[in-house]
Amino acid sequence: MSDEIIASDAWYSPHEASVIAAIAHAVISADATYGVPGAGDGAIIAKVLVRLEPHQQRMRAGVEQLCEECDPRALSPDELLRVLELDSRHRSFYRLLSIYIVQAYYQDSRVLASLALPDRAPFPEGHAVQEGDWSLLDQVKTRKPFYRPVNGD
Amino acid sequence: MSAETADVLIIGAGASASAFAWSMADTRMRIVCLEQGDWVNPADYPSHDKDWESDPRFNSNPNQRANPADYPINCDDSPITIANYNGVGGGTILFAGHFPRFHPSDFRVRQLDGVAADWPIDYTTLEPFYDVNDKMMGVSGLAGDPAYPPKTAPMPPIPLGRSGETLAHGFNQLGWHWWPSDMAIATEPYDGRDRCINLGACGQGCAQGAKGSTDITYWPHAMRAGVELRTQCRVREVTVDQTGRATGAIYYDAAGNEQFQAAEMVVMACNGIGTPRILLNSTSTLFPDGLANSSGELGRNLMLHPYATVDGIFSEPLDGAKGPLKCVASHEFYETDLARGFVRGFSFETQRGYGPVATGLLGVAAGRIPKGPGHHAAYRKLSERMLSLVAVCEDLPEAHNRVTLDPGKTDAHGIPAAKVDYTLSNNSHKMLNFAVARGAEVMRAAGAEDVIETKLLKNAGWHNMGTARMGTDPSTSVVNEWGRSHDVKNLFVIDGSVFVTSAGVNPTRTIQALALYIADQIKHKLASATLFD
Repeated sequence: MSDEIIASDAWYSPHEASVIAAIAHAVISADATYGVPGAGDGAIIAKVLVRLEPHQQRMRAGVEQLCEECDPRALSPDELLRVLELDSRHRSFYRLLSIYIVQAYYQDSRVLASLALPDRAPFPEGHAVQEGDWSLLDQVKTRKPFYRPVNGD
Repeated sequence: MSAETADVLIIGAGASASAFAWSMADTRMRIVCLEQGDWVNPADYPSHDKDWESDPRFNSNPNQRANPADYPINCDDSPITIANYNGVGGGTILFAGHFPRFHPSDFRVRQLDGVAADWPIDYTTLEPFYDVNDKMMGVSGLAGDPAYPPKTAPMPPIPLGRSGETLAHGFNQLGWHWWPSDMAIATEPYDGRDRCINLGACGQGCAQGAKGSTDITYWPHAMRAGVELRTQCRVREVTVDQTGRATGAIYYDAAGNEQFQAAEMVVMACNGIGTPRILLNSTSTLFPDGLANSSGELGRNLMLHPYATVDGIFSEPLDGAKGPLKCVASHEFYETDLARGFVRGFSFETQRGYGPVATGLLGVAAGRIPKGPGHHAAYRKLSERMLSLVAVCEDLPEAHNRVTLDPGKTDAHGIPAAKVDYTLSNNSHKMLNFAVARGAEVMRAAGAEDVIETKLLKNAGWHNMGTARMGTDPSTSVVNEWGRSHDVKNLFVIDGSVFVTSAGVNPTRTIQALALYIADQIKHKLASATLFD
């Protein structure tokens, strides 16, 4: 999966996509202090929508149920979170959606740069890991064997 | 080609099958292996991509992954869901490579603790096969662990890193045992494999080829020696003749066509779920309750290793998702101490750290990272500052924990799905509670500012054992002390199904040592013409 979104959100109507974006924005908002976008950012939400393709039915039903109760796009992020968290009818939909929001958000290049985390595939470069202080093992090496004997040992 | 009779037909191409096939290859018999999945192309592994943490093709839950090779496993009646991988290499494709041996006491739990049953073999019997397997899989580690009888490893251990050092301080503070983990990971060039470069994605397949998945360890050697491995061949049932001898297997090929492979000897290697599933589906007039099931024990005594985890959150950066997932282990609480309120014990193994996505998901789920205001500041307190201890708890066999055929669900070929019925025992509950408390204690001693305790990991049913257990009594076991069915004299089981007890460590090294031992027994009995007596 690359950063480029090709067909993206055709599985969801503009209305459904805008409601999902409003929820994403409420879950993770932009923050100028850290220089990071919110999860409702266009590039991030496009990834969320692509990955939600296998869950279209569940997402559609969740959006529809939420919209019967309120206009999510008209609520403040705090108000929207309260609706989603306090009404148990939204729990399953909200939990699943939140997973995909977090997944897409923490692979965004701007977010990784802000966290000083590698913005690349692990392979082929790999990572450096320090060897560590093996003298810490000296204490354990002084211990006598303590595996439990059985008949014949 | 498939109409020709194989001398040995192996069903499944995972950890046990690969070791068994390699060992049997020196007989020069015609050995055929049928695998329902395919070869995995290392170029497809997620670590080639920045988004390596959330590739659904390498999800360990077969019901969610739903690759064409997968079959459904109904876990509605189990607090632990089954994890596996179907393809050449089986579970070793996704395993972390943590590679401990069983302890000598694990084979004698009845004698020592008065529970479950003793194995019909012992540690000393398996020891030479452990040694051979260590060489074939390429094990890294350090000799001198006081928790074990003397053993060596072909390669030096993986680095401690900041995470290992931090935990080592905690264990030392408490005076508890720890030791660098034995790992099936090459720390230097080994048998055509390159050394580990700390990708951190061991659990999604190793693109570097440093991790010892059996598609790159045993299988190339076995195939060069003449073993035929046929992929995308899903076995439906093992067939028998009128005398009750196995005659081969009916399977569906890649095109979905029904085929029959005749064989002189059939060897089941489909793990603790897949093996009873196929044998229970192999009904006939002679064997109406499934093949090798006259005892009624087939599918019963399923053991899963309940896992508890304790995550520590530290003020200083640790390794994060850089490096092999595991680095140190502790066997301080491995043996029975009745003062703890339970029998048997557990090992601790380390989870070195988490990637950015896992950090977010875990932090949110544990209530350490809020949604909405405060999210970013809270995330930064966890990012690269977490490490985890996993307690692998010994699960004792209970007849009601079992695998059956699901009455409603089937796979893509119409073969009944597996159904798992499993409950946690009172002993396991007590052990998990104790393990979580000790894990929190060592995390605090190591300097953790906050600790997240998870008493039972749900998606962690990696170790499926006991459903065709070995024993000398045909009324209480499915196979004998060298893996041959009590009921069908040319049918063998070589995977974790044959385990009598589960121990408190990962089982793959023992599964493979057992497969090598059974192959050795078969070869000796072939030489003396006593194999089918």
